[in-house]
Amino acid sequence: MKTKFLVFLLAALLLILPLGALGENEVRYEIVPSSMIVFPADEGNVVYITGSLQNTSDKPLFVGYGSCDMFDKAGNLLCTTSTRCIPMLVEPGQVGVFRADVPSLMFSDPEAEVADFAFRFEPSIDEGPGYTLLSPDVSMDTSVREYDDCPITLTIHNTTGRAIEGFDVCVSLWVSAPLSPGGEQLIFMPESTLFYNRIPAGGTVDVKLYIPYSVMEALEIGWPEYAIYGLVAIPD
Amino acid sequence: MKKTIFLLLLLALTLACATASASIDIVGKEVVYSYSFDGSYPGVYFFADVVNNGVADVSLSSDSSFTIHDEDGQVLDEEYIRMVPVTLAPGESGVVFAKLMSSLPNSSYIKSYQYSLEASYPWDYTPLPATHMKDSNDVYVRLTNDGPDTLWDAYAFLIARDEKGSPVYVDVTIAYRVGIPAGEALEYPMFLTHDLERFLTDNGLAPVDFTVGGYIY
Repeated sequence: MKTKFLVFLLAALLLILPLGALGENEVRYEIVPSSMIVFPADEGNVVYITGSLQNTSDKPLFVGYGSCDMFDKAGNLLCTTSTRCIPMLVEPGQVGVFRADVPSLMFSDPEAEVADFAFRFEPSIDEGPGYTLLSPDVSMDTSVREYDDCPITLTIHNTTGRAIEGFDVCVSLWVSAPLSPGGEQLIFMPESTLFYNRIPAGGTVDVKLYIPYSVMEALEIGWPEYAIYGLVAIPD
Repeated sequence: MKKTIFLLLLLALTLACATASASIDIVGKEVVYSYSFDGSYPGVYFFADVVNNGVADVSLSSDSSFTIHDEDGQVLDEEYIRMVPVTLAPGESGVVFAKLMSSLPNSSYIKSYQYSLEASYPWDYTPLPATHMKDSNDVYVRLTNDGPDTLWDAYAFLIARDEKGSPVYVDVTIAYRVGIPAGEALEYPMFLTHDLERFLTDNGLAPVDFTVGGYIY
């Protein structure tokens, strides 16, 4: 009886283990398109869409580059543009953010309005070197205008213990009510990569990113409550 | 009214004299070689020492150009020439350079080159002290902000010379939209890679002396 039970247990374990292992390596994620802003540019408008991806797997996901399709009311594809996730490698439970911005002049029909959009990524499990994330200090003076943009200054303190270069810097601008009853909503995400500069260990530098002033004006009118977060993603 | 016209004429004459007296002349022999960073399209590099033989400060005009030619003398490609420092006082020396990234299949098409140096009104700039260090694969130039204000959009440069003192590599990099707060430092990779160093050494141009600096406009 005891032997039979042990054999049964072993068989059950042999069946369950591969399933468990499969579950562990399953790529699971959720993409949440956050918002679309249309703001005037020199010629026509710029359509600006943001999104975020939550890694619901048990393993880190390399998200990297993806694309965003924009459609008109009739479902016609207006354009496809590339995008990238910051950070490119998203740890379990963590969120990566991305954006797509296209001048309406680039649409297959420049007069058409974007009615729907979809982000596409092909994340894969990646247990290689990840990213070290830093939270820079963020300051914004909405009264200042540079090149008709509102400058945001990120002060990056390199607390990694090593010199850093080739890293991504981004600011995410989130709003609360009234457009996002479910909580905060990402609406704008200026970003940059510092390829050719290195911050010594323990050093501090400032980086400027910009938000178009027309977006700031829309913010002040439509979304008086907003929050800005900075993120620095350094490849390990 | 007459006084105004006289003043305008005087100003025009002064500017004309300043331009006429401006002169950037090459000293010694220029260094030109072809090198490909990625093993595909050949880059053509031009370096030369220059001196301001005029009587006024002078910068290099963006009309200054470096051209490569085929066997018929036809221009294959063109690149503008830059100078460090960006402004020369009378009698001061600098280095001019061009890095032409051609789309030719290989360098055998290039049979000759030409350059032209055009002077322009001096650009106002502030030089910054710098140091350099060698890392695993790059030379880094380090700018330290000793002043009280954040330095935005600062440039760093490196001039590498061979044992004869000729400039064999120059690089200039900007920290675009990056600010160096007071008392802080920023480092710039200069892409004088091991491969490029090996190439230069194999061709009798081993870089042995480095001059570095920085500036802001």
